[in-house]
Parts: sequence; C-alpha cells; structure tokens
Amino acid sequence: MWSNKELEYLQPESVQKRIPFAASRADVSNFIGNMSLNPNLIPTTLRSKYILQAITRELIISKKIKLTDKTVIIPEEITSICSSPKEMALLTLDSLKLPDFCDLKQSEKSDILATLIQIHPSSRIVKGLGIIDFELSEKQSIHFTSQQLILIPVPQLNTLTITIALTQGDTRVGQRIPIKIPKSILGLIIDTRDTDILINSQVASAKELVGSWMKSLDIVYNEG
Amino acid sequence: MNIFCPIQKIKLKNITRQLGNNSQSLVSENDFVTPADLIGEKKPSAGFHIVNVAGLLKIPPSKASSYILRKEGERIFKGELLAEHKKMFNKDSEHVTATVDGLIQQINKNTGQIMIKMIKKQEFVPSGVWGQVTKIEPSGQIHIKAPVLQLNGKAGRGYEREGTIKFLENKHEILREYSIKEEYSGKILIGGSLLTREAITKAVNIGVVGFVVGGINYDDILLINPESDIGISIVVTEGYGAVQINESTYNKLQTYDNYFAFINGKEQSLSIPLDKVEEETDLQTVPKTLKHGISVRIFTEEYISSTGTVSEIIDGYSFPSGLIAPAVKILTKNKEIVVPQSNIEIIV
Repeated sequence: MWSNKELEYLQPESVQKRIPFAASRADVSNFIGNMSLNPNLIPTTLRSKYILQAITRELIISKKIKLTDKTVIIPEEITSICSSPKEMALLTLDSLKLPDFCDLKQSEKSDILATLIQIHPSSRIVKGLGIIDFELSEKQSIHFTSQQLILIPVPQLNTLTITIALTQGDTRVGQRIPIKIPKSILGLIIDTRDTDILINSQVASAKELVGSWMKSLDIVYNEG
Repeated sequence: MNIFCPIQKIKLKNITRQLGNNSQSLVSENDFVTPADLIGEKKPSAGFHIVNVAGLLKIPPSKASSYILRKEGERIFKGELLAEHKKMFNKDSEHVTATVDGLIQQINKNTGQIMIKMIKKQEFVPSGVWGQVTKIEPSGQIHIKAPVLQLNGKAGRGYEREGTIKFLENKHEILREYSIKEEYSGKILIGGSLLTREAITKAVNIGVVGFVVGGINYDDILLINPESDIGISIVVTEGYGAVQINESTYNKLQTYDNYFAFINGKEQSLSIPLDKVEEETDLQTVPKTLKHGISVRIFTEEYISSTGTVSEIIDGYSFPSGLIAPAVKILTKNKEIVVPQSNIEIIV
C-alpha cells in the first residue's frame, strides 16, 4: 500500500506523460488524491488501470530502488493493479529501465508467468535486458517497431538459438545475428525505446568511445 | 472491511467554545445550558482583515487603487462601500463592501489589497448547544457535552468554526466565484459537486464560515496546509474531483437548513446541535464482514458516491480492466452493478 506521503509528493505531470491517452492534469491529480483516500482501490476499467499503472511507475522510480547484485525489489502494490504477472513484469521493468539481459528465475512449473508470481512473495526478480528484433525459429518470426517494450516467454528447451535481424540503422541490415539462449532463461524483454546517451564533451574521449562501440559492433570505422 | 458512518447521532459530544484570553466565563462547571444562553464575554484582540479588491473586481492589481473609494486612516463599518467598478450606464457595476468594522490601515497599490485593522469590541458568546458544561479552562475554553448530529467527511481543511447552515440551490453545481453571494457571509454552505479555488478566495473575502461539498480538486486542497488556517473551513464528503454529495446524506441534512452548526475541517466533520438524541448510532454492533442485504458505499471511479445494498457476493469476477478480483453485486437506486470488494465500505 503506497503511503499518503508518497502520493502527496507525486507530480501529476510526470504521471500524465506515462498515460497512453489524453488525460488532463486535474484528472490525474484527482485520481492520485482519491487513491490516497482509498489505497486498496482495484481498477475496474482499462482507463483507471492505465492511470494506476502510470502512478505506480512513477512511485517505483521515485522510490529509487537500488540495484544491488542485479536484484530489484518488486513493490507489493503492483500485484493489485496488473491483470497478469506478465503485465507486472513489464510494468516493473519499464519503470526500472534495466540495462542488460533479463535472466528471470526458473520456477518449478517452468513457466514464465508462474515464475513472476513465485518471485513476488520474496520480493525478488533478477536482471533485465534490451535488444532489437528477433526470430525464435524459422516458423516463428516477430517484428518490432520502435518505442516498444514487450515480454516474450521462451520455450523450455536445453538451449535455444534466436536470430536477430536488424532492419535499419546499421551496416549489417538484412544479416541474421545468432544469439544463444541458455536453458535457465525463461523469457526475453524486447526494448526498442529511445534511450539518451551521454557522451563526454571532450572530443578526443568522445571519438574514442564511439570508435570502440563501432568496432565492437563490427561497423566500418574511419579513424579520422 | 472498512466501516463508514456519513451521518452519526452522538448523545454526548465534547463541544469546545473558544472565548480566548482576557475573557470571562458567565457559567460554572456542571451548569446546563441551552443554545441562547450566554456563556462568556470575550474581548477579541484587534486583528487585521485583508480585502483583495483587485481579485473581487477582476482588475489588474496595479489599477485597483483607482477604484478604491476610501483612504488610509478612515474608519469603516460592516456593509459600507470600499470600492466600486462602474460600468457603462451603471449596468452590472461591481461593488466591494466591508465585512468587518475597523480602521483602514493600509491600501497596497501594488497588490490591490486593503488592510483593515479591526476594532476591539466586547462580544458575548452564546452556548449554541443544549448541554452541560464539563470544564472551564483558564485559557478561555469552555467544554460542553452536548447531543449532536454529526456529518463525517472524507477530507477537510480549517479549524472549528460556527455558523448557520445554508443549502445551495443545486447540489450538482460547480461552485465558482459567481456562485458565492454576499448574503452567504456567516453561513456554512452545503451543496455543490466541486469547490473551485476562485470560490474559496471570494468566500474568504465575503466572510463565509465554511463549505460542505461533494468534491474539490486535489491540487487545491494540497495548497492549504492541514496545520494552518486560511479563514474558512472545508469538509469534503465524497472525494477529489467533481462529485456530488451522496443523495441520501444530502436529503437527511436538508432538514437542518438554517440550523446553527459547527464545522471542523481538520476533523472533517459538521456538528449540528440537537436538543436530545434518543438513540446513539452504534458503530460497534455493525457487522464487519460482507453479507447479503448490507448497505455499502462505492468508491470505484465510475460510481463514486453511490450507495446500495449487497445482493450477491462473488468469489472471482473478471472486470473490463482484465483484473479478476473478489466482487459484490450491489443494488443501487437505479441499477444493479458489480464492483470489487476492495472498492466498497460498509455504511451505517
């Protein structure tokens, strides 16, 4: 249950920008107020669910959850506003903007949905990830556009090779890049959202940094 | 399950009458009093009253001084003209009158405000209630145990104040600046679905004692520090946003139009003194678990402020949001609806 103090300091503007439809500042602010009066509120409509999820995202961010040993705490409140554990995972990961691969813990049921429920009572989830566009097999192909954050369960096999096919922005467009997925991985988080990158203002060090990225990505790099 | 009692009958509520320092009590402990009995004589310290002329006449603050008809150092009495904004052919001219007796201390040409130093005068304080004096404190507080009908709200701001209840014509109305009339001075206004910031400002200037409203914008209430006082008390009965006062609560209260009452924003309550209370509202015997036929109040956004009776308890119901939760079917005045059990409270 979020405390009234946490809700009181929440900025409606920052919640507003996370809502996928037009909602006025007053609407959002009043929603926050009513949530402080009735903290156990369960959203019954999609509209109220999206507003509540946006509020939760902001609260998770404002709580400044620390990543210690790549472990994060899932706030308990998230369970009451998500219709499925998958939604829970997306909401949490979206709020935390985790940088690396998501290695979700394996449950007894070997099922990604069960895993997240199992993780929740002990408040633990492990790591996160971001990649671009991939294929599970020749038969199963998923295409992603920009600004997406999607969670995909991976079939339980010994190991799995997925191939990433870049569609734009790289000299390797059209190539298929294989990535091996170990058995312990239960799902992938596909994150194609824009992320700001801060580059050192000194030209020499910026050149060095960009150069190292291009080399590691096997892109033609002109030293000049 | 939460239990909420919107209107509660209390046999003996502690009512505190403030006389202030340098006051004299005219009653003794254990005395029985009626509302008209004078219980004390107070000599209020001469404070200041600020009138925002620019705001009331809707003109820029820098231009306000040309509309002010009085000068610094002049005496002014309640009801006298302070400023006037004449319009063409005198049609719809706007006036600002004094709501207190005093001396014009300062006219601020930058802010368009007049500061009035109030005149010290002797005041007799009536009891206002039927009850028994239980304690008289040296600080000038007289405690009286009295039977009351208490309205409990969901949120509020402001200290305890007293005034006469005045029901507004329309309980659905959004209370804006023009909804507040000069004749509301000294009144506790009941009604309206949304109390706006402009209406509060005008009400403070006019001398309205308080508001009992269905809703207020959360941003507006946050502007008022819960520990301070802005010269008016507000009790919000339903929640934030535009919400009309629950019909049954409103209808029950309407019997008390023009009654003397106490409003306390900090306690979120309105207390109406009664001559006696036969049977007190008993919150202890109310069942705390849901069952068929029990009265509940809903705070789900789309049905906020509605009440009804439970007609069915459902273990798991899938809502349009995709969430599955324990629910209840509720028979309201107009229709039968299903809401999550977390989104209701039992009402008494």
